[in-house]
Amino acid sequence: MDGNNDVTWDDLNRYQNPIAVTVFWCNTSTGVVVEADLINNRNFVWASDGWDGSYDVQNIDTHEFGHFLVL
Amino acid sequence: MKTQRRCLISALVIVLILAFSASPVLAAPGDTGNGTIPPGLTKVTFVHHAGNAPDVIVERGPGGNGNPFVSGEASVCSDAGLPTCDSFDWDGQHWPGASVEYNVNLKNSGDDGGFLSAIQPQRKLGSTTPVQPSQPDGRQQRRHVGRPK
Repeated sequence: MDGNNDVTWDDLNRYQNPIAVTVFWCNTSTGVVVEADLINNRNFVWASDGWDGSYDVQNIDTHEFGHFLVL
Repeated sequence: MKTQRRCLISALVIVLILAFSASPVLAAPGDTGNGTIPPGLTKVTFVHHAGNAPDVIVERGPGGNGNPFVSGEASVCSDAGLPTCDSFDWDGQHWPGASVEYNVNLKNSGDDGGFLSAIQPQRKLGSTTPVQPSQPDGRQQRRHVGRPK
């Protein structure tokens, strides 16, 4: 938690190598989300042009951004 | 010449001091900057593995009164809005929740849709015994993060 909403790529072996991890922090009393971060796993192949055999950035991250909104 | 050099050095020192004292990021309210969960906040982590619904890990910071062991029950996790558990009962035992990690399933999901208001505790990670204070401030060490088996 650093006060920024980060979207980044990193090694996610500490989570047993998932595709992506989204984290958000919220104030339990008010329901306000104070920060949200998205980390894509850099150990996977990513592309934005539909390249076969890759994970599509827009597809995956649109899904993850939903978690920013507590969906 | 000597005076000019002194002025130049002084200016350089001032520039260096300003450069190292300026903060590029304004900290958000409640930001501890050390990886801990600030009091009154809940940290929710979605871990997505290929082809599976995510593991959802809910971690609570210390309660609003500063006591990390605030009473509560698992069932109140389904209160409207966001998770409000300070602790939960699992397998007939009471688990203080201030630093407890647990996986949840989203109730109405074939994938992982739905709202967090529908989460239910699925299983406790790691130990099969209630959380016991193991550190001076009463917090438990963080547990292993992984998929439910």
